[in-house]
Amino acid sequence: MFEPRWKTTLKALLYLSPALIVIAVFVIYPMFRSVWISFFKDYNIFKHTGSGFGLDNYKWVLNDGRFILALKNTTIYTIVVVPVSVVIALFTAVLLNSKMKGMKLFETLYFLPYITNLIAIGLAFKFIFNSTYGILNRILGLFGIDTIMWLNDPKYSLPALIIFGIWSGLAFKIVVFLAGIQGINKQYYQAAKIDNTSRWRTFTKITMPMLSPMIFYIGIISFIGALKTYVEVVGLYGNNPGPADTAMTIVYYVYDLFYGANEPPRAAAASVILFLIILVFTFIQLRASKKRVQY
Amino acid sequence: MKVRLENLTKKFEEVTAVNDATLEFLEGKLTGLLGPSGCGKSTTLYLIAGLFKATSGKIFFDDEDVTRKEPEKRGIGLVFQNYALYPHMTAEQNIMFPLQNLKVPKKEARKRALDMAKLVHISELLNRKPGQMSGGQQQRVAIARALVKEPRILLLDEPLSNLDARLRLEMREEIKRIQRETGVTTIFVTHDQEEAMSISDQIAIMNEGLLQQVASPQEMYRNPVNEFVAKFLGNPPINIIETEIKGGKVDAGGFLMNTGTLPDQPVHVGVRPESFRLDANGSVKAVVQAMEYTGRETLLFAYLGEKLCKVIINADIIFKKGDSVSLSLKEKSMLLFDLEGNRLYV
Amino acid sequence: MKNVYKIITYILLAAGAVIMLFPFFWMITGSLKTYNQITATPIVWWPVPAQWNNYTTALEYAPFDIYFINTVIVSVGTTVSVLITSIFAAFAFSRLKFRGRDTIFSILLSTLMIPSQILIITNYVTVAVRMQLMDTLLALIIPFTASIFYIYLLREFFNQIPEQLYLAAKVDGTSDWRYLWKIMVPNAKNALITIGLFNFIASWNAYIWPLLLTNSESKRVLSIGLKYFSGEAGTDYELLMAAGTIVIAPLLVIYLFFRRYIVEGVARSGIKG
Ligand SMILES: Nc1ncnc2c1ncn2[C@@H]1O[C@H](COP(=O)(O)OP(=O)(O)OP(=O)(O)O)[C@@H](O)[C@H]1O
Ligand SMILES: [Mg+2]
Repeated sequence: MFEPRWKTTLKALLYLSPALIVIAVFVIYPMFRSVWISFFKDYNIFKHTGSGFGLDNYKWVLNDGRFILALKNTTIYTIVVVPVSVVIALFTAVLLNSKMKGMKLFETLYFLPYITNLIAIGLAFKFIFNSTYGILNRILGLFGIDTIMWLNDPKYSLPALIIFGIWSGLAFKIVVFLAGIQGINKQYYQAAKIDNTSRWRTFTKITMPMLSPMIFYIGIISFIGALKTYVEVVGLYGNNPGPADTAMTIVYYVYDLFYGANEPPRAAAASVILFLIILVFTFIQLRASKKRVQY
Repeated sequence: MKVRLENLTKKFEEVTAVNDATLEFLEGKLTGLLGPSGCGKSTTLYLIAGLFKATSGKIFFDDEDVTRKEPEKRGIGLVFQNYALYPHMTAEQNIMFPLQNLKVPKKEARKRALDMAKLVHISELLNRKPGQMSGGQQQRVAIARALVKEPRILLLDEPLSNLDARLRLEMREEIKRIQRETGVTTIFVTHDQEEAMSISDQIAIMNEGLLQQVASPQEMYRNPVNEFVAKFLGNPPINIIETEIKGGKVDAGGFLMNTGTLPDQPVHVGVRPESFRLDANGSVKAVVQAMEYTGRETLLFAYLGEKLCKVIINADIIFKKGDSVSLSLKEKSMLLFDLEGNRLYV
Repeated sequence: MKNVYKIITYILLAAGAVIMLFPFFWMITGSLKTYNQITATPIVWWPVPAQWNNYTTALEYAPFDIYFINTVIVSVGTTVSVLITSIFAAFAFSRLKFRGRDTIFSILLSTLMIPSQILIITNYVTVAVRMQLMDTLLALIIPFTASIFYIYLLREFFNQIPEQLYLAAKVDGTSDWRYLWKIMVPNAKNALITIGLFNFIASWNAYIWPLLLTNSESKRVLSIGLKYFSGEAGTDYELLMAAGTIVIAPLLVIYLFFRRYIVEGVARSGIKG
C-alpha cells in the first residue's frame, strides 16, 4: 500500500484523469502547438496547413513599430506600477497593523477592490478621468490646474493607465503584506519596545528584514502581472489602446494581432516573445532574491 | 490469537528498518515492543497491520499466512501515537466509523459504540469532537475506535507518549485493564523501558532493526542476553565495569568472580545498582563521591577502584563525601559481556 | 506624542480608504443620478431622488438580465467542475502512491509560468473549430474545468491532513473513495470554499476568452455585454454606471458574506496570476 504498484498507479490515474485530460488538451497541447504555429509564415487554422517555416514572424514582430511601442509602454508601466504599489501597500499594511480601534473595518474597506471587475470599475475610472465633467479635473481645477485630457491626450493616457493599475493592484498586496507582518513573531517587537527602539528603526530593522522574502515574492508576482497587463486597458479605453496607441501593452498587441488583424502565427510569435521576457525576469528576480533576501 | 513473525525484513531505500525478525506474540497477552527511537518499532507494527509490505519473511496470525493480505482484511485495531481521530467527527462518529465501513446496521453500530464507550469510560463525552477533549480522553476514544470492530489483535504505537507524566501512569493502568477485560492479543510499542516493564506480560526489545531478546519483564531484567538489553532496562542504569578475565577469574572493582572455563579476554561486567549491599564485613571498600535522595531510597555515587558506580542503599543511612563504605554483592549479580556486547555465561 | 501618532495614522488610513473606495461610491451614486446631475456644477455628491429608472433604461438598451444569467451559468459551471477535478487530482497527488507522481506534478507546476496568451491561440482553434462550440456557453466552460493552480493549492491543504488519518482509515477498511469524501473533503472544507470563491470571481470577471468565443447577444456574459454597451452608450454615464453596478453588485455581496475566506485565501497563498 505504501509502495507504488501497477494497481495503485492505475487507480491514481483514474482519479487524475478528469483533470489531466482537460490540462492535456487546454494547457500542454496548446503550449507546443502555439509555438509550432509561430514558425509558419502562413498558417490556416481551419485546415491546419502552413507554409514558410522559419523565423519570419519573429523578425516581423520585432521590427513592428507597434510592438516596440507596446514594449516601451509595458516597460514604463511595470517600472512605475510595481515599486509604487509595493511601497504604498507596505506602508498601508504597517498602518493597518497598529493596535488601534477600527482596524478591522479599515481592513474590510481596503480589501474590497481585490474582487472587482476591471471592465466595470474601468468605466468608473473613465467617468472620473472624463475631461469635462470628470471629478478629477474638477478637483484639480479648484487648485487652478487646467483641464487635462486624461484619456485623449497621448501625454496623459499612459499615466491614467498607471493610476488605474496602481489602484487595482493595491488591495491584493495589502492583504498579503498585512498577513506577513502579523505573522512576524510578536517577541521581536516586544524586545524592540523594551530596548526603546523608535518606530522607524523598528520598521527598518525588524519589519522590513523579516518581510523581505515576501516583498520579493510579491515583487515577482506583480512584475509578471504588470508585464501581462491587458484588461485594465480595455476597462479604461474600450475599443482602442489609448490615443495613438499610447496605452498599448504587449498583451493588447498580441490579442490585436490575433483577433483584430487575424494573424495567428504572428500573434503566436509575439506571445512566445512575451513568455521569454517573463522567463528572463523570473530568473533574474529569483536569483536576486536568493542573494538579497535576509534571514 | 497468536502472531508469529518469521524472518521478517523491511528495507526502505537505504535503511533496513526491520532485520530478519523472528518472534511470537502470545495469545491473549500484552507484549511490549521496546527500543530506542528509530529502531524499527513502528515499522514492525505497520508490517503486522499490513500498512507496509514486507521485503521478505512471513507474518502468521495463528497458522494463517497473512503476509500478503490487505490491512482491512486482517482484523486488527490500531491506535496511533497522536491518536489519528477524525477531527470533524464527534467521539461517537469516530467510534462508529469502522463499523459503517463494514456496513453494520446503524442501530447495532450505535449500540456497539456505546458499549465501547462504557468500556473505556467516555460515555459522557460522545458528542464532543477531538478538539474539545483532553489528550487522555482522545486516547480512550482512539482505543474504543480500534476495539469496536472486535479485532483479533490490538496494536498500539506509543499511545502514551503525548500525555503528561501523571496521565501516562493512569492510562497505562487503563490499557492494562481494558486488555484484561477484552482478552485481545495486544502489541504495545514504546521507547520507555519503565512503561514496557510495568505493562507487559512479555517484552520484545529491538535495536537498529534487530530483535535483541524476547522474554518476560523479570527474566529480561535479570537475564539480559547482551549489554544493550542490560543497559536499556533499569533506572538508574546498570553499572558497567571494564576489566578482564585472567586465569579463570575476573576482578570488577574488587569484586571477584570465578569464570570457569571462559578463556582470558577483556570483558564488561554489569552490576545493577540495587545488587550492592552495605556490609560491614564486605570485601570491598568504596569512596563516596555524592548522594541523591529520592525519599524511598538513596542513590550513592561511589568509586569502586577507578570506576564511579551507582549504588542504591536504604534511605535512612547518611554518608558524606569522602566517607568509605564496605560493600558486598548479592548472589549471581555480576553479568559478563564480551567486547561485542554478547553475554558470557559461566 | 502617542496621540499624535494615533491621529496621523487615522487620518492617513481614512484618506487611503476614501481613495480605495471612491470609484465604487462614484459608480453607484452615478448610477442613480440624472444626466444633468452628472454634468452639473457644483458637483452633486448624493443623488436625490435616486434615479432607479437608469437601471431599467440600461436594461432596455442591452439585455443585462440575459448576460447575468449566462455569467452565472458559466461561473457556476466552471466552479463546480474545477472543484471536482481538483479534489480528485489533489487527492491522488497527496495520498495515493503511484509511479511518476512527483514528475507529473512538477511538470504541471512548471506550466504555471506560461502566459495564457500562448495557450489561447490554439485553444481558440480547438474549441471553435474542432469542437464546433463557437458561440455556446459550453465553450466558455470546458477549457476551465480544471486548474493546475487550484490542484496545487488543494494538494497543500490535503497534505496538512495527517497521513496517519489515512492509515487509520485503511486499517478500518475504508476505501479510498469513502476516505476522500468522508474525511478529506470535510476537513478541507474551508480550502474548498476559498478555491470555489476564487474560481467563481475569476470566471465572473473573465474577459478575453468569452470575447473571442461568443458573437451573438444571447450568449454574452456581463463583461462582454458591458464592453459593447459602453461603446454604444458613449457618454451616458448614468447608464454606464448602472450597467457597471449590475456587474459589480454580486461581487460586493460575495465579498460581504465571504470576506474571511477570501482574505485568508489571499493571505495564505498570495493568489493572483
Ligand atoms: N516510509 C519510510 N521511508 C523510508 N524510511 C523509513 C520510513 N519509515 C521509517 N523509515 C526508517 O526506518 C527506520 C525505523 O523507523 P521506525 O519508524 O520504525 O522507528 P521507531 O522505532 O518507530 O522510532 P520512533 O520511536 O522514533 O517512532 C528509521 O531509520 C526510519 O528513518
Ligand atoms: Mg514510531
